[in-house]
Amino acid sequence: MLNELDRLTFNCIKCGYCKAACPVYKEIGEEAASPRGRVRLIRGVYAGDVSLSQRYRKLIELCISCRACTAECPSGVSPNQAVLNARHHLAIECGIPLIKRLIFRRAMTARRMFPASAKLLGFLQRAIILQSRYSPARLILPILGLPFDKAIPYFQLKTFRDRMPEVIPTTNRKYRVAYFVGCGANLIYPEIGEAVVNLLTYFGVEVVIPRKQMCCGTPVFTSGDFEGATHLARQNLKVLSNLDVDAIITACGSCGTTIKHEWHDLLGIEVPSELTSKVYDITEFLTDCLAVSLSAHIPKAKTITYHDPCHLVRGMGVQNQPRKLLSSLADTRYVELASADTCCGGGGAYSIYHPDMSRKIGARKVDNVLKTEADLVATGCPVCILQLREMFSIARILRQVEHTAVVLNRALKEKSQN
Amino acid sequence: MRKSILHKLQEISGSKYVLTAPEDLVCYGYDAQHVEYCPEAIVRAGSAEEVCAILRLANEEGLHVTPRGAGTGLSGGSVPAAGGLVLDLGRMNRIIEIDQSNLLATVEPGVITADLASAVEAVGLMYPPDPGSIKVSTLGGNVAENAGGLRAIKYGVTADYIKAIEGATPTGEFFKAGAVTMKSVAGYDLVHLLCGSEGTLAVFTKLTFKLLPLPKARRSMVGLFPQLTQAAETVSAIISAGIMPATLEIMDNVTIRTVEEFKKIGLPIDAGAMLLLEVDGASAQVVEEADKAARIMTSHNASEVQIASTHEERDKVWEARRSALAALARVRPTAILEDATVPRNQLADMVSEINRIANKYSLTIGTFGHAGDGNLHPTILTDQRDKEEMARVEKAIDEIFNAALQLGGTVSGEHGIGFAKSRYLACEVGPGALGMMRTIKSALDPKGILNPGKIFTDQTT
Repeated sequence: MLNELDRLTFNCIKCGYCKAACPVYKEIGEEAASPRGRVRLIRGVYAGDVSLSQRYRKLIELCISCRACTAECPSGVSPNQAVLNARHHLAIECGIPLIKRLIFRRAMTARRMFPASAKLLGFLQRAIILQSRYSPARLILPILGLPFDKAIPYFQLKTFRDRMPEVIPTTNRKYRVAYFVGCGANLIYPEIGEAVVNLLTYFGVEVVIPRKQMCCGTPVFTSGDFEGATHLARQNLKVLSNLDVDAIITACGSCGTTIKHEWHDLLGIEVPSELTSKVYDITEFLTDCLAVSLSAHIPKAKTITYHDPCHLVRGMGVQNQPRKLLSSLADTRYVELASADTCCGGGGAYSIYHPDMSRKIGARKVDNVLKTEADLVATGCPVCILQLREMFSIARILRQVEHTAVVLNRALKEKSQN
Repeated sequence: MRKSILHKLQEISGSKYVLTAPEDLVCYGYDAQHVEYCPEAIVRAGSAEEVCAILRLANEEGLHVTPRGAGTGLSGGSVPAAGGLVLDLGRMNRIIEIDQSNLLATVEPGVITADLASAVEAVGLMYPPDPGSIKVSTLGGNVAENAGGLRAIKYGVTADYIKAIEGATPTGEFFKAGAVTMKSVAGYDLVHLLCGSEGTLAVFTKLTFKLLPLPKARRSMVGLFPQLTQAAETVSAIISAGIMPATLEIMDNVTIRTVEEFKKIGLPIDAGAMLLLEVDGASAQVVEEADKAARIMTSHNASEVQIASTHEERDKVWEARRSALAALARVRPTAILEDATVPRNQLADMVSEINRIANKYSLTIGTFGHAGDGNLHPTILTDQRDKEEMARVEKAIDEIFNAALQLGGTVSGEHGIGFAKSRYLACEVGPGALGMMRTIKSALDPKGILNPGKIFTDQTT
């Protein structure tokens, strides 16, 4: 493990270029909260001049995993990868908290239990009307260290995958693909899943939604639990390897990046390249494989802009495709967002562990969106949607935030109605 | 550090801004060169008053203070070589004013260079100095080190733009130096004494810079040469022909090959060297100068000359240069970037010397840099953990600097002396000038508390 920390940090020449890219450092301004600082600390753990103190743990946990530092590094160091491995090292040396262990090792790895507990949560949420801004149940949030006005998404009473058949056929079949749904679309935003399936079948693609798929593992390894994540990855790998499909479609940058890269690069699992080369984001598949261009009108959106999810743009390298699709919409003006590829502060569970930091980073994104005068922000990740909606809601600003696939699907419906 | 001193620091700046955790000390012990020293505490000052109070306290207590911007220097200027306190100025990061009628910008020292550059560009103006770390480095650090950059050949360095400085002396007195007028001869030119003083004579709290109108047009080109020396000779020919490019950069074969391996942008890996040139100014003049430069390259044995006609082509030209350090840094774990600088007409000789030294010590040295102003960046690719190789690296660095001095050059074009190059300073400036420098230092900083261990080899003065 220490050797891994050495390997991941020894090429750092301390030029500091990563500091310009880091959203967390921008808010704190202390060197130890910068990617270069974190790399130095991790190197220090290897070299023996830094101990696994509370302060060290806090600094390592403060990284939001947006990968901007990695993209900026001239010497090919990935501070992001070093931090994830440092968290793994901390998990080994200091253990994983019981609650996380229960969720990661028990709930999430049992195929039926995870959706079931999410459903139960969804039921409870509705029973205590948690979503309302004025619900008395919200009094529990400050006790948990969360802001009183934290956006809590309703978990679905019936998950997306429960609603769908395993195979959705199409006429004039051009391709057959598997849809890796991911937890966001399955448990919280089923409209993303519906949009993906609609778009694909409309353009002649048969969709398979493998029954036994699970969480991709991102939230698990992000917390340092590589063993839990490896278990999930292996289960998913088994499911995805035995399919007769042309592509594996994701509509979440993190799921896509994890299958494409992290199972191998981070967890060290042998993933066949025939599988990783088949992974496409939905917008990537629509543009690059189906050459789709939608000239349809979206209701109630005159100006539209796009926010790049960190893992979609830097993990999967998907940047032009969603823009191309969104600009092709008729009667809609597409405007580019300033610093579109800067993190929105969502970061998975980051907004729960670090609510203040998450909102500070998010506020910059809101400012940039306001400068565009766009009335709809499209993006490609459920967590970004959750975060941006929360940020607009607490700022009392009315803006629609939707997944790119949902926007396109709406345009498609409009088109077929006319 | 004594508890009583820490308490006083907390009273001055607030306890939130005084850092003493071991994790923080480690992270404030480095910059972009490879030697580290740990401070005993860090204070992140928020105003000129705080800076003065901190320096007064340091004088009373005999506490060493090292001012710091973003820590991207390449000679150890912001590394606390004698321990003590690091004075972080990053919180003072407001752009105070952009004065379009007088072409001036006034900023706090912690403003990031690129932030000022883009703020003035938004109103049609230009802040020309563009050091390699422009996206991270602070203007306070740029002034302290008199930072250069790619455009220095035509536009000069930070010293050519700094007009006025406010700050604190080493004893904690507040001062205002310089004037915002175009001309001023009121007393000693303190601004240009402080610019490049590497944080040994004062701590800056407010800086006023001169700006220029943004040029209307620009044109980039690249020339390939069979041999590095031919490219170096072409540089002198272009300058003698009366062309003043905004940028004139050189890359040797090692750098070209490494960049191509890393970026795959179709660079000719068998070329001995590349010259990259950009002219800017009025549209007609730009076209004329670009054609003339292309003809000179061809008549000086260039095997190929390409003028970029579109934005994309221009970006491609500069992508190669921007990737140079990045690519070299990937080859080995440690990259030592030097900045030996010679008069422009000695560039070809300097290049040959570097090649000879690389062979003599069996080292890989990639050479690229600002050929137009004689400022080369021989980059030694090595591994800090390999003691035997590092010994050869030390010897090679000594010889590179000796060679630069023999050719009438300087040991540091734009990185500063810091502690990394203090042993070469006397050879360059001689005992007379060195004595004056020491006298100035001890007059302004009698207790030697401000950034000790820098520029001079000992701090006994």
